[in-house]
Amino acid sequence: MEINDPRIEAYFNFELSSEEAKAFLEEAKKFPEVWQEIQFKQWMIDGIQDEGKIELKEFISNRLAEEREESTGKFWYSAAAIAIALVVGFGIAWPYLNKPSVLSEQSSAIESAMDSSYALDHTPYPTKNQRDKESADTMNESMAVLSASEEGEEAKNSMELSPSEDGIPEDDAMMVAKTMHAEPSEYRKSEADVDFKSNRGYSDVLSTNIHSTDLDLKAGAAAVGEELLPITEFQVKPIQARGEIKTKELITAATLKKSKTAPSSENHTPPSTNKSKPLPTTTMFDTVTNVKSGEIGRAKLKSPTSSEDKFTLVLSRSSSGKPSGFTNKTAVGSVNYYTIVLNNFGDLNALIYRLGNNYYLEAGTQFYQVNMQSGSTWQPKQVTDKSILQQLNP
Amino acid sequence: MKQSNPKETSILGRIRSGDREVLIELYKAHEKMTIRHVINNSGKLEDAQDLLQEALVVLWQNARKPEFDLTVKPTTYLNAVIKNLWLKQLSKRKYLKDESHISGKEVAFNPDPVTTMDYGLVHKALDALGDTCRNILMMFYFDGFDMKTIAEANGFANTDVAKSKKHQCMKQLEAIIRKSYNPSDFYRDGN
Repeated sequence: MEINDPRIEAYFNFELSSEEAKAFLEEAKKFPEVWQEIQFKQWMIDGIQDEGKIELKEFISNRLAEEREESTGKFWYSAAAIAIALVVGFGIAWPYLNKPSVLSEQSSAIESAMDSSYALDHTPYPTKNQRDKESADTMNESMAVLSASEEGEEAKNSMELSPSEDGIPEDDAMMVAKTMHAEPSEYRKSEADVDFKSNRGYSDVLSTNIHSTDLDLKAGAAAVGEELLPITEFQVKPIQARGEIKTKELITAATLKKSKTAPSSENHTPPSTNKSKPLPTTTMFDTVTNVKSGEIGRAKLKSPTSSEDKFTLVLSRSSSGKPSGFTNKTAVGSVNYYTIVLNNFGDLNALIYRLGNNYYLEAGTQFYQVNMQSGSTWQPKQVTDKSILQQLNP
Repeated sequence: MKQSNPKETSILGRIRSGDREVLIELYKAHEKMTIRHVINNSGKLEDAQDLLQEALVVLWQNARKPEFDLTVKPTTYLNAVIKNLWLKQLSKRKYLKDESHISGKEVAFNPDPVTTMDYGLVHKALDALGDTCRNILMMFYFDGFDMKTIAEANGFANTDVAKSKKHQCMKQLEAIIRKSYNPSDFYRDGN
């Protein structure tokens, strides 16, 4: 048996039947040189298979890691979205939470207005306890208070008592006292006035909400030199979220640079330095549409060709951080649907070009050859051939 | 007449068409079972993960072999592969444990040819090859695609062109290896 025996090639091309292969090996063992050659070739093939196994395992690991990252990312995005929604919601609600509720505002305002009206007619101004008591007391007691107020000087003294002594809050006491006895020019500068002003909103609410009451608010307001302002209707506006929360950073393909390929011609032949040997056709793909989560986008073949291949570019990241690509092809009728996964290419705009039977990826400022073998994981190989680069980027 | 489950049929079809995504689906479907089996049989979680990947590689490679005639569901087949591979692992571990009394020198003179074979040189040579050549060799020797598929995938006119290209690529790989290394270093005794 010679070292160039055609059966060696046939054996490694799996062209021999199992019986033929067995017989061939038995015979080859008798020829050390041939046997060594067979062993060497077998070692190379084992090495190729080992590389394939490593790649396939890497593919499985990377894809699972990506899915786990994605699900973890989804969880954190959801958590972040909820936290943001809560913060925004709380921020919007805070002024209303911080203030008394509308009902309490109204009741405070009513109370305040009633106090003002009461103050106009009653001296001395009673404490809340007194007022509560009053409401429960008989008319005679009320009349006694009124008769006491007629004594004038006594009532005035009563008003000038320290608020802490009679339990009336200082501001209220000041306000009421000044409402009754002081000149507007005096109390306008006072702290009580400032407080009253800050409560204008309540008066405003009151003005619209208790119109039906018989309280003469205008008179009360006029008594303290205040003007009732028209109230603005309170409107609740929905918070509109802009866009959707995305689980992955999305990259859209760059708009095709018209200068790169001839936009007018369907099949563009780029300029070539070698006129006698026309260069293959450059096919360009449309800009990306239908961007989905995790995808760079869908690149559509712009120039119709016999194959009309369609591409989906998917941006992906894996824990290895090593740039790699994965190509998958599904043929539906005469159309080939390619999915090209770009692992760890970073943030980039991507376009695919075809020169003859080869496909190239423009990522960032570089061009890489795309391995179109279905089910293959490939390492990005930068295009350095000047003639190819010239066609891709004339 | 027994009808095959279309889902099960499609698994094999997808593997044969080179759809690697199906392996991820199979991994997820068998992960719990594999972990349970390995942990209940003296293994660890990492062993289970490695084992399942290994089993998927076996299914991937076997599915395209012409003689591969699957009479059971692919998932049943995969379960069987997982169990067989784990038995092999355990036997190997037991063997190593039983041989642990042998001195290091004796072990060195009786290496396991499979585990000691260094394919790093081939891996480097493959990286030095062009993408097309690398793909052709991987498709043929690892994935087990036929020449028609290889020709279509690589844009060759016909299977003859693909076959010729494959031959050239193998020669190229051999030349790269031979340039730096002596083939006799990798000679294995045929006995």
